[in-house]
Amino acid sequence: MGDISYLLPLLFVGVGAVVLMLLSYTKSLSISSIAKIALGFLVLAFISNVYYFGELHKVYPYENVFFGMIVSDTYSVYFNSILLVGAIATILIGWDYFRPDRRFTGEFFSLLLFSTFGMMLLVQSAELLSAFIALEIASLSLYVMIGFQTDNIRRVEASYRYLVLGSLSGVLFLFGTALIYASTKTTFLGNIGVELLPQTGKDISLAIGGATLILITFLFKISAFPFQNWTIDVYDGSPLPVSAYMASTFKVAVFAFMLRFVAMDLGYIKDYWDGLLMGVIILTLAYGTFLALAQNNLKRMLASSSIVHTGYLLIAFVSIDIIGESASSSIIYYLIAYFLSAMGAFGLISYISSSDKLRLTYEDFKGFSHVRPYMSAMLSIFMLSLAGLPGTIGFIGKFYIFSGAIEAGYTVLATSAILATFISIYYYFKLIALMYFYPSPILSNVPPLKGLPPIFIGFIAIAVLWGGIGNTFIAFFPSIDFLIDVAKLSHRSLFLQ
Amino acid sequence: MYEIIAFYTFSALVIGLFGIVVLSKNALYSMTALAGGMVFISGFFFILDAEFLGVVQIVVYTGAIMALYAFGMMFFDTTRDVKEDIRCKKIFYTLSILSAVLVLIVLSAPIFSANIEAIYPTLEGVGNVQTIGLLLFTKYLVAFELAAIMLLVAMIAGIVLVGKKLDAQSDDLEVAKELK
Amino acid sequence: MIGLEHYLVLTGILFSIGIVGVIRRTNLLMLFFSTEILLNAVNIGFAAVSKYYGDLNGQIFSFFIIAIAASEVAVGLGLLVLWYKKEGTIDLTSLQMMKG
Repeated sequence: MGDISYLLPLLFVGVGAVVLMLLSYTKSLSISSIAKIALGFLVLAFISNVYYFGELHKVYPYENVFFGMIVSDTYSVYFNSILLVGAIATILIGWDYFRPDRRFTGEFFSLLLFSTFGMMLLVQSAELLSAFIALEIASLSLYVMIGFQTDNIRRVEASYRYLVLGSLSGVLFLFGTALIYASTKTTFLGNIGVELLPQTGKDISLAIGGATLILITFLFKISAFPFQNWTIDVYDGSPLPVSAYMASTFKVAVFAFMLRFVAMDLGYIKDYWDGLLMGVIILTLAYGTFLALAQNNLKRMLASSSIVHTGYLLIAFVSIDIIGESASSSIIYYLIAYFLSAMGAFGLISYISSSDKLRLTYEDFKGFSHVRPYMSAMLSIFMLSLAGLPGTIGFIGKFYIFSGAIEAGYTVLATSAILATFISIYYYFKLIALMYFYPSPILSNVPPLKGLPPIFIGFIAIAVLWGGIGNTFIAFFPSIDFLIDVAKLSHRSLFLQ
Repeated sequence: MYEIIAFYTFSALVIGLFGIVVLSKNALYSMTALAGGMVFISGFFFILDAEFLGVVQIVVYTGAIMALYAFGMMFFDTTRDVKEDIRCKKIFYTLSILSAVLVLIVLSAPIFSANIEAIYPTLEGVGNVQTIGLLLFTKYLVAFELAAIMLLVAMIAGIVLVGKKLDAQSDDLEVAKELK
Repeated sequence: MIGLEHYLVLTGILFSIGIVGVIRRTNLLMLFFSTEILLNAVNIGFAAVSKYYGDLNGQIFSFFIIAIAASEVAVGLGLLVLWYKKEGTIDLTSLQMMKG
C-alpha cells in the first residue's frame, strides 16, 4: 500500500471539499444530492482510516517530501475516526435541517469538509506552524458555517464574536510559537522536548512563557474558565447541527493536538502549570455549573454544561505526568463518551425544533413523553449519560477520570468534580422529570420519527448504552475494553521512534 | 553604528505610529498610521537581512491587506469620529496600562536571563530570496500547500458571506421577469 | 550593538500596544487593526530570532503569518460588511442583543 495509504483519509476529505466547492456552482444539483456526495467522501475517508485502527504504528508519510510535518500513528487514526464520525453525524442529523429555504447551499458542505480536513490535519501535524495553519483552516470554515444564514442577525453576531476572539487567541499561539522557537530553535514536536530536557542545562524560561501562551490559546478553544464566556453565546447563536459539530468535534481535535504536544514535549514544563491548572479546573467546574443552573433555554444549558465537561477533561490532563498512560487514555475515552452524548442530545433537540423560530426551553418539554415516547427515552438516555449515571458510557468515562485523579493524588480536584457531577444531576434530571411527570403535552407540532436523522440518533443512543453495559452482556463483540486498549495503544504510539 | 541608528529610528517611528492606531479617534487616521507603521516594519526586515520578507511586507501587507481594509472602509462611515463611550475610565486605563506593563515584564524578564548567544551568520554565495525559495518548497512544502488551502477557504468564506445577497437579488429579478 | 534582546523587547512593546488597543477599542474595525499590530509584532520577533540563530525558518514563519493575517482579514471584513448592512454600526456595544 505504501505511504499513500496513511494519507488517504486526509486526501479523501480534502479532495471532497474541493469537488463540492466546484459542484456547488452548478444549480442543477439539489442540496440533498450534494449532501449525499459529501457523505460519500466522508465515508470513504472513514473506511480508509479504520483500516489502521488499533494497529500500533507511527509513520511519517513521504518523509523526503513532507519532511516529517505530517505524522500518522495509532493516536491520529483514533482521533480521525472520532472526527470523521462527527462530520458524518452532523450531515445525518442535519439532513432535514439543511434546506435551501433556510439559505443553506452546497458551499456549506464544502466548508464542513474543509473544517474536518483542518481538524484532521491538526491531529496529524507534528510541527507547530503547520498545526496552527490547520487550526486556522478549521476555524475559518467554522466561522462561516456559523454565520452561513446571513439573513439571520443572531448567526452573524455569533460568528463575529467567535472570529474576533478566535483571532486574538490565535495571535497568542503564534507569539508562543515565536518564543519557543527563540528558546529551542525548532518547532517540531519531539525535538522541542529534547531541547528542553534539564540535562541540556539551558535556561528555558522563554520556552515556559511560550508554552504558557499556547496553553492560553488551548484553554480558550476548549472554553475553560477565564475564557468561557463566548461559548454560550456562540453555541446559542449558531444553527443547531453546527453547535453539535462544534461541541463534539472541534474540542476533540484541539484536545488531541494539545495532548500530543504536552505528552511529547512539555512533560518538564507542565510542572510549572500545576497550580495554575488546578485553579482553572476548579473555577471552570464551579462557573460552568453555575451557568448551567441559571439557564432556562435547553441549548444554552447544553452549552454551559459543555464547560463543566471541559473541567472534567482537564483533571485527567493535569494528572497526566503522574499516571501517564492511564490518564491520557481516560481523556481519549472520555472524549468519545462526551462526543456521543453531546452529539445525540444536540441532534435530537435540533430534530425536535425543526422550525427555526422555536427556542426550546425546559417548559416546552412538559409531558413530552406522552407525545413522543421514543424520543423522550432517547433524550433521557443522553441526559443520563451526560450526568454520568451508571449504565451509560458517560459513567465509565467519568469513573476512569475520577479514579485516575485520586490515584495521582489530586483528591481536591476529584472531590470538586464529584460535587459538580452531583449538582449536574439536577439540571439534567429536571428535563427528564418534566418530560415524564407532567400530564399535558405542550409541544404538539413535533415531527414524528421519520427519515434518516432519527434512525441515526437512535443508533447513537444504543452506542451510549452499549458503551456503559454492553461488554458484560454481549460476548465476542468489541466492547469498551477494546476502545480503552486502543486508547492505551494510541498513547504508546506517541513515543515510538 | 548605522544599524543602531536605523533600529532606534524605526522603533520610534513604529511605536509612535502604532500608538496613533490604538489611540486615534478617527478610523481613517488609524488606518493610515497602521499602513505607515507596516512600511517602517519592513525596515526592520531589511536590517535583519530578510530582504525578501521586507518586500513581501510592503507588497502584501501594506499593498494588499491594507488596501482591503481601505476598500472595506468605503462601506462604513469613516469621516465621523468614532464614539467610544468607555464607562469608568479610570479603572479601564489602569487596567490596560497594568496589563501592558505586565506583558512587557513577563516577556522581557526571561529574555535577559536567557543570554542568547548572538551568532552572526552570513549565508555566503546564496541570496536570501534563493534560500527562502529552497526552504519554502522543500521543508515547508506541506505548510505552503496548507496555506494555499487556507486562502481558498477564506475566499469561499468571503464569497459566501458577502456575495450571497447578489445571488438572491438575481433570483428576485428572474422572478420579476417571469411575472411580467 | 543591537542584540536579539533589543528586538524581542521591541516585539514585547509592540505586542503591549496591540493589547492596549484590543482592550481599549470598542469599534470592531479598530479591533482588527489592533490584531494586525499583534501579528506584526510577532513577525518582527520571528525575523530577529531567525537572523541571530542563522536559521531561516523564522523568516518562513513570518511569511505564513502574513498569509494567515490576509485570510483572517478576508473573513473578518466579510462579516463586518454584513454586520454593517444589518445594523448600521460597527461598534462592539451593538453586539449585545443576545441575552438569554
